[in-house]
Amino acid sequence: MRNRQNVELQRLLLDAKKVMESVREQIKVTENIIRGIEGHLATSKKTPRVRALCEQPVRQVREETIIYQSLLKKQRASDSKERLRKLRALKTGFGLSHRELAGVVGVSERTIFNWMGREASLNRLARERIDKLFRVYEMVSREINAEARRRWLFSQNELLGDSAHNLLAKGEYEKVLADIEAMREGVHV
Amino acid sequence: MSRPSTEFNGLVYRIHAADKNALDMEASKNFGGRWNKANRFGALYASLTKETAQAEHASQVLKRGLTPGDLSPRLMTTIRVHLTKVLDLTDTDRQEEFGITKSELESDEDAYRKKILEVSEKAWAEGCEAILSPSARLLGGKNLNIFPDKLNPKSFLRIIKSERLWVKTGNS
Repeated sequence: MRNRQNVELQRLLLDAKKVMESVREQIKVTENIIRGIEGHLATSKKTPRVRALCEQPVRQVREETIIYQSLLKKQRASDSKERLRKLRALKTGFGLSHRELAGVVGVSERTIFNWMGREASLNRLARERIDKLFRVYEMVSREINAEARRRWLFSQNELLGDSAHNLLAKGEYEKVLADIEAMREGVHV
Repeated sequence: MSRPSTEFNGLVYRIHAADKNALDMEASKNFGGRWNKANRFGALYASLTKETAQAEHASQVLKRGLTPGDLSPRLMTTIRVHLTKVLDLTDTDRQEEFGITKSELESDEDAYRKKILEVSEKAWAEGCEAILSPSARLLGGKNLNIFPDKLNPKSFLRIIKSERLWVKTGNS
């Protein structure tokens, strides 16, 4: 009985020894790393000029990164606000419903609701589409009286072979712009 | 084949947006018009009377689903024109020579529009400075379709005056 207990105790001691050896090995590795870091620090202490030279640009880069990130965030927020302003101008200027606006921008009605309901971040394609549509709107608002803009947008344009709305939804902004410019110039058709 | 051409001396009229230069033809080059194919060459469209200019203007606007009263202010500009090489397509002999009839010149059908563009292309290639044509919008009216890039040294276009064009609207 005592023999059996001794054997069991020896097995436990052996396991404990293995665990201790593993822990000691890990501590040794960590100590080596710490020693390495301390060594580097000691070296740089011996050459304060180099250390000063390195520290300043590193700090500067860190500060610039923080400033840049903050500016980028502000810029994104401002861009989104600007696109939202343009969308609202398109909606009001042409007297469009959410569905009609979605059609002309080329997105779903739900997307329009999301964009207009909050400051959503728009992808590159959406931003480009809104900017191009707004360019058309700016020209139309200079050229056509407010009460006729919606009519112009949805009327069949004999010269374009379709309505401006359909062409814009297909992304043919330049064709629509060229037509308005030709009308301004007084080109006979 | 050398085609006979005539001189043109006189006043012409054109209607355009108030902030546009009366002699500008860039948009005609980009978009094309009745007498010039898009992206080939530009044309300056003018009429021999104010009435014809107004009829042409109204037609352009109506074809776009609008009325003249829907637009921003327009100017009626009077231009003195002196040209030395003009193809007169109001002359039946010239029409015959180019294989086109008066009714075709006044038509809006695609086939005849294409034919008109072919005639203008030939005339332009032969160095004509302009084509005098019957108006498709006003009976008896005439238009002078000028190719500014073909103007001879002795030819000129001179703006005489620009007047605000007053259009009757539904409310007035």
